[in-house]
Amino acid sequence: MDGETGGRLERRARRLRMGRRLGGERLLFLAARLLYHLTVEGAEHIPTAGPCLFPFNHVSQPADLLANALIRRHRSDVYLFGWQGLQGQNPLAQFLAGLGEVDPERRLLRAYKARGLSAGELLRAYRLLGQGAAIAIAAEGEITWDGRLQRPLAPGTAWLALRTAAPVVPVVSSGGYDVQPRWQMEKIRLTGRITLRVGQPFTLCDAPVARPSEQVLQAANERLWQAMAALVDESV
Amino acid sequence: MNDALTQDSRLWQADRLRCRHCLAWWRVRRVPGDNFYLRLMSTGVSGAALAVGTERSIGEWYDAMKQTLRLLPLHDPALSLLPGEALYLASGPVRLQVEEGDPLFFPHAPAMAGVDKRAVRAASAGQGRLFLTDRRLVWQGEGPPRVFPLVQLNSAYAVMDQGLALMVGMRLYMAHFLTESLLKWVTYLALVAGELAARTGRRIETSHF
Repeated sequence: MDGETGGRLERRARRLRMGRRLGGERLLFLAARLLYHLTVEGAEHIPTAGPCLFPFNHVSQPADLLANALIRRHRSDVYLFGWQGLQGQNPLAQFLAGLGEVDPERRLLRAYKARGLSAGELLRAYRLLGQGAAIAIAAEGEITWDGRLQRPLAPGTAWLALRTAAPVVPVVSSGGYDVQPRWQMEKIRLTGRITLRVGQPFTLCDAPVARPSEQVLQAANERLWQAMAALVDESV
Repeated sequence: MNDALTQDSRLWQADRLRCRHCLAWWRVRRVPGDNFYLRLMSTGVSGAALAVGTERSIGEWYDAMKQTLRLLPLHDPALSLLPGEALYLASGPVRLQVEEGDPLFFPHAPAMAGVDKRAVRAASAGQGRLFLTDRRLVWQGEGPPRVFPLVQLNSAYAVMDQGLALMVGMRLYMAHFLTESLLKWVTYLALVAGELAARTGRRIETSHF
């Protein structure tokens, strides 16, 4: 790991450790309510048991962390997809450790920024869904540059939903973009308004599809995008 | 013009976005819970048809800028081009990280690259420059230039604001641009990938831009 990236990750880890000591998720929500007037809508839609996919939009780190924390509050057994770096660094593992997760590695699914390399982790997610687990995944695959929901979504969520017929519960944040836009990630603003909105569960197929074709996958992916976009637009 | 836009952060006043080429500038307005809006304060010497005072969201300005994007050949004496080859991007200083066992950088390493990258360790290939042509990416750092033909490039993704993750064959690389826009590189790579796909049917996966 180069010194600059290592130093930045270590600084973040220090902040997270401090957060854990001060109260973990509760503190995170309290801080978000104070700083960002955090509002949560539709949390009752989060299933407390059974297989489930939680696709969320990827707006900024604070908004993403809050979305993940909201899901974990209702589904502490959720598995989270997180970016895996070339040097083995995984910011989400640090986040989970900061929240007091005893074995963060176990809760993680690794998303590689390279074509096809996440296939093994998708298969692991598929098996976990078969065992009744819940999976949270940044459906776009990467943080937005301009605040808008990126189109098309990365195909992983739709593929998992088709292969398992598991319910999909979209979780979107709105208002997080101006807190930390991707073009200025070094600066997190300490004021703003963030709303987390949880959609109604729905499925992308009635029964598991053994081998979804490219066309079927694209159609399912577009349907998922529409559902998430509609949820984001509820604030407009 | 590449890298002409620059943001001036100001403590007590709204940030400014300036074009160093045509001297146009915008005032940046943040609306908490919503978005950023840019108001055109001067058209500079560009003679743009837009009226001073026009305000749009950052996404709308971005869309307008993307509509004007074209791949234009550059010249850089540091890179020898092949006959008929066009150079589209020449970077400033870049730090490159490679897999520890990459034979392109470590000649005694095994040639095979695995699909499972969990055990992979990164090594620094030092600082150098990266070039993008219509046929290849070329790394010029210590030692001889390393060439990555685009037909072997599987994917090119921006990793947050940190760098560009390239997958060439089954090898991973991470380029950290020290002085220029990561988004510019992703954008040009996506444009070149589109041309390559149209020409050869070969698909390179890239980040959204």
